[in-house]
Amino acid sequence: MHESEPASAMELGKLLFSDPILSGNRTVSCASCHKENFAFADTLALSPGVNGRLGTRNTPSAMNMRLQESFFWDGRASTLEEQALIPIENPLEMDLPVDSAIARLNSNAFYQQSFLRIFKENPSKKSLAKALSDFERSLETNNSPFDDWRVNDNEDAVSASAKRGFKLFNTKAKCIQCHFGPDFNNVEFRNIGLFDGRMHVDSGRSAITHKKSDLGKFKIGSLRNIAVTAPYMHNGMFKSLKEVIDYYDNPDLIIPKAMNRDTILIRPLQLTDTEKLDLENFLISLTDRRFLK
Amino acid sequence: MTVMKNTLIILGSIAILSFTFSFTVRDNRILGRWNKIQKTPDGPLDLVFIFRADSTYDGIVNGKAFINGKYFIKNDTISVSDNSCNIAYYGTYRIKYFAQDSLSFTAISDTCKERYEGAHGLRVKKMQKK
Repeated sequence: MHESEPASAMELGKLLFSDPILSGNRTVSCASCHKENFAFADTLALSPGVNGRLGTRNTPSAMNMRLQESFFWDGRASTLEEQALIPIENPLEMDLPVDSAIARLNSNAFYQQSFLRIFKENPSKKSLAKALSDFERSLETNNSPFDDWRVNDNEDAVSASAKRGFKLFNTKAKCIQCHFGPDFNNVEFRNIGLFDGRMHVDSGRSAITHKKSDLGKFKIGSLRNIAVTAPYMHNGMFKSLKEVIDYYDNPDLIIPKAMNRDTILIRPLQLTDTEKLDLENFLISLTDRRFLK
Repeated sequence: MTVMKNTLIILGSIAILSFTFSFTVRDNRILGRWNKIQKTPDGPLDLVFIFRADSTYDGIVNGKAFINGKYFIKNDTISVSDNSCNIAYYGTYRIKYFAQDSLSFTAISDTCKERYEGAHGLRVKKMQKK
């Protein structure tokens, strides 16, 4: 039972996002893996879908999607509408053909009436995608300590350590070369060295483009709300920001024979322990106040 | 001799005053917040640029800080360096104040593609102080 009738596509999408009606055995919803308290990401390296089947990649945050140009770690969807339907059909996630999902919604009086009222038509593939994507578009965050510092000139919003970390981020640590813009990512796909063809075999973007040059490349992730979206990377292999920073500092110590690793990471950064801590504090400052305790 | 001495003192004083004036009186019109609402298929983008007296500036989109850098102005030319590209490199733009509360940017030279695409032809409006 739903408490109130949704008044917009966004509100309808919010209900659907948390409703297991969209999974094959009615046990899993989008919210099962995209957990609100963790910036709509998951705390597990790989999330279980229907019947406990594990996915193959770490659940990315569903927040701050509005300005993105591609979706999923390999960028297989180019619109949020396209993205919204793919997990429903994925056998490892919700495992329900979209046509079956539409049939379910049409036979559910509450949803059938809600779609009719909002879209002036019965539930369809297009309106389902519109509702879910409108909800995702509403999940923007712009109230981090970093924003407060830069937008409101509030010098006390972030610590001196975080300010030093921001400078490092822009210079010695080279993070800015990939993580820039309003969500601290960009539209590119990069190989940060997590593909070696032996232990680490997810080929990433190249499975979509079939280009050898895309081997091991993944979408550059947003850094907003990063403090609450561990574990990190497409495979969730790093449990903490400290581990992430240690990796970037010297990738060869973790994955020595990476293939096609980006030239930005060709040499160790040689960050000191203090610099690593400053970077970590800066990254934490990118997390919205609603998630910072 | 006395006349010449007085003339030199006066000219010297004028020179010193002119020199001092050129460094203490600057064009402060750019200081403050400038705004542009850009329509997109996914809804409006609310862009704000903050130019500060300490020669730093920030760009903000929909309340999210997205760019941070330094600038300096000479006559009608602004030089900008920010973290969207090599921070040591300055792109240059011609700035023009118009309609009492608006400002436009026209590229003179900028090899930073991202910044050029955002700044060339940009027109912003001065935001009123709250």
